[in-house]
Amino acid sequence: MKEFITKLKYRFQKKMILMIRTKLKFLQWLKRLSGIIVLLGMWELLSLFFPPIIVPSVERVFLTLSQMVISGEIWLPLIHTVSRVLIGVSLSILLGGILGTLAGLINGIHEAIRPVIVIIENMPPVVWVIIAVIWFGLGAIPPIFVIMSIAVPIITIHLDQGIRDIDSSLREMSQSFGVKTSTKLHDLYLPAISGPFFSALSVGFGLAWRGVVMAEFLGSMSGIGNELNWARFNLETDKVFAYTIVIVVLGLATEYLLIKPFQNRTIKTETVRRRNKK
Amino acid sequence: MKEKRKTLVKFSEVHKRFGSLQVIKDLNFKVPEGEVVSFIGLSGCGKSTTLRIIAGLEEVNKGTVERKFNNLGFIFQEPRLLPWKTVLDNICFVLKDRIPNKVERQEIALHYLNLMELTQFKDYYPAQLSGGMKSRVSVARALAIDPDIILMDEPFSDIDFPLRLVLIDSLKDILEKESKTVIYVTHDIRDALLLSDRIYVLTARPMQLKEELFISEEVRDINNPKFSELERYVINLLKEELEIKRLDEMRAESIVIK
Repeated sequence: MKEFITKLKYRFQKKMILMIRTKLKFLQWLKRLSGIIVLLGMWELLSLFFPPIIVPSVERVFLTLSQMVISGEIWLPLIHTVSRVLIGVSLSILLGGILGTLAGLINGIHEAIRPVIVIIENMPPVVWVIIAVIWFGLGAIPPIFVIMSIAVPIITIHLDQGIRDIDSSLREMSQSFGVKTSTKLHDLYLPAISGPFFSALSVGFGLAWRGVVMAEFLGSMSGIGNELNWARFNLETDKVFAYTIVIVVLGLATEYLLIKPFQNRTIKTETVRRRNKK
Repeated sequence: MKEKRKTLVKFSEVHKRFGSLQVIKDLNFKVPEGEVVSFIGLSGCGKSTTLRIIAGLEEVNKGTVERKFNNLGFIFQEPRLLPWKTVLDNICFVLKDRIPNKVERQEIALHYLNLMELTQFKDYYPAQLSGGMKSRVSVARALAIDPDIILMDEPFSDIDFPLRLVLIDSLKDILEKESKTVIYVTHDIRDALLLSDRIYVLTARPMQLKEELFISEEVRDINNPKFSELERYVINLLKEELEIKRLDEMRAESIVIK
């Protein structure tokens, strides 16, 4: 009997701990959500005082969004925008990868490239749109051009620094053992720079989504940015809000579905490395 | 009875400067095949630089260095393991270009891990190992490439004495079995006496050869009275150097004061 009671007690305690834990987790999520809830509340509140053309209500925006999905009008601009970002970021990885690697390995190129990158980074992205429209006309090229103007410097700098930060003692070790360059590249350089590379990609993608919409707004006849232009023209404010939500979701999706899964793998070795240093 | 042995490394009138700092001045020595040669000197006298010159990591300013070996295994002061690779893969990393077959490569790596009694840790990452284990991995790595010559730069300096003795004993066994040529740099006289056939005692910076000692088999025993006699002798040599270094520093200071 006594045994049974202690067992019961133990079970009860275990359950309580579990409950408290889930409650704590729930509280944490509640805190995180609270900011968004307040934002939505304020939005809803404002929509009560203003006509839908100025501030459309939350439900109206989501209704428009679902209508856009159902009628299919969202897909073509979405495909245009997504493909431009993917092409732009891929080309940036290629160009930034080459430049960053060269700058990381060769001192002269590093010195030469740094000031150029600082200049490019300080140029307003709008200038790139204007230049691209003058050179190539309206179309797909201005958005890609703008993405590259943003992403190439970021990837170049991160790779350059990443290669420079590679432990020189490990380089020496592989040199003294006569390890070939191809093996060094695969087993020493690539793992060492994957951390900086993915953080560059994360920042680059984030900025690319914001840049592409602006570039399409000003320099393209298709894509989400162009749709925003039409929505502005027709005073369809609910569509502006709906497309904004789409872009934010796209940004989060690339971060959490595309980059994070890869990054987690490298972070594992990153923490191992940090512990190793201590 | 002296058998004629091939010389693997020969330094002739080697000078090395870092900027205005003269590290090595007119250094001459040779390392015959199959011998364990130790360099003993004060810390910071230029022993490590000599090893780096032999490994081709450093150029000399004057003089000639003959290197007559193909494979070189370096056991550094720190283990220098790739943190993102397991113990086994760390050894396979240096074997990759020599042995294209992966299975064969792993077999060799496992053989040397077994010699260092690390088989059960083959899938561990360096961060999960103790300092002594990491040193043993770096020893296994150097042995695995079947080197003509092994360079050791105080690899056991971070390890406590009892464990160091065990490590040195096991290393001694392996070296004797495979009759490897070894250049061992240390400031620990006892380590050097236990391992070497030949000891070069070096002067303080700028480094030169002070004395060449040959250690016979029977002296290489901690219980032999000759061992402690020799140890005292080397200690006195180093004390002399310490005194010279101190005087040099005092002189340099007095020049600055003037």
